[in-house]
Amino acid sequence: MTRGFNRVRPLEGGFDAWVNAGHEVAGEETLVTVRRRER
Amino acid sequence: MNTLLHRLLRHGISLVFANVFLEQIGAPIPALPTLIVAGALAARGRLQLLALLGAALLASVLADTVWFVVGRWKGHKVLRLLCRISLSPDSCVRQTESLYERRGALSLLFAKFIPGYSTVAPPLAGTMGTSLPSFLLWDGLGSLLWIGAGVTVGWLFRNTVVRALDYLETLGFWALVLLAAGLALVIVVKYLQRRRLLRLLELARITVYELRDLIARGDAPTIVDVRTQSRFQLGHIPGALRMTLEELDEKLADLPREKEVVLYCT
Repeated sequence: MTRGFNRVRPLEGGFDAWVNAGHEVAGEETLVTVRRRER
Repeated sequence: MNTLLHRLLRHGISLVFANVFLEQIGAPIPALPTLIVAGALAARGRLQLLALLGAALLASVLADTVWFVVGRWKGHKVLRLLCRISLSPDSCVRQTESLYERRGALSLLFAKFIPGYSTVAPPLAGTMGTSLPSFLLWDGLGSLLWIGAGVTVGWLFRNTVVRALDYLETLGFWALVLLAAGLALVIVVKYLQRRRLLRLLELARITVYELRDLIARGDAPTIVDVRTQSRFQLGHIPGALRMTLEELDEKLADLPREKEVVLYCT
């Protein structure tokens, strides 16, 4: 799929696949996890 | 009166019930042509209008309630399964969730008129915690609108529909063969379209490992999160921009054209 000159690709498995692969996540859930670890 | 019409009239209400139920439960058998024919027959006084509307409504709400209960029981798993069968899983889950978040149970009122959403809306209502009375109310009204639309078209074009039935009757046994072949053609075309779409989507995808490697070597693409705002706030891929697909063209106009864009959903 392309739009103009940009190639647009969907991420296989979406956000769940990114999380399940153990990759870094930004956002509130991460902050909560980090705070819990700090305690 | 001809034989085909006789059979249709004898089993008319049961046929409508079975067809609507099968379509709403997920079988690729369109019910709209049946509703149009039934509407034409009702206009000629050969089928009872109230019985027709009642049977179609019961079949539709019954099938939808089955999906509602499955959605409540299995959660997002059933939604993904349905989306995998009907459309691209990414766009399907994103669009349906977003539509349901915006309109709530009210979206059930027009769900049957939106391709793809019709099958997904009832289990989504179950997944999103809609109460059973609210589901039954809005799904019932939505079903009635959809059934009413089909029956009204048949009612208005009753002469044309009955002429078509008469013509089929002249074909005798071959009329049934023609109808079966037409139905088989619809199913095959739907299946091939779906398979081609899924293959195209699979070819065009990027894996999480490819994306991680691109980021690691400093060649990160523009990452776009097309989920809802609440899900984005809970967690997202670092550096991702949150926008709807509709906003994509507008917001990406300022970015270098040679840069790749990676979209992700749930």
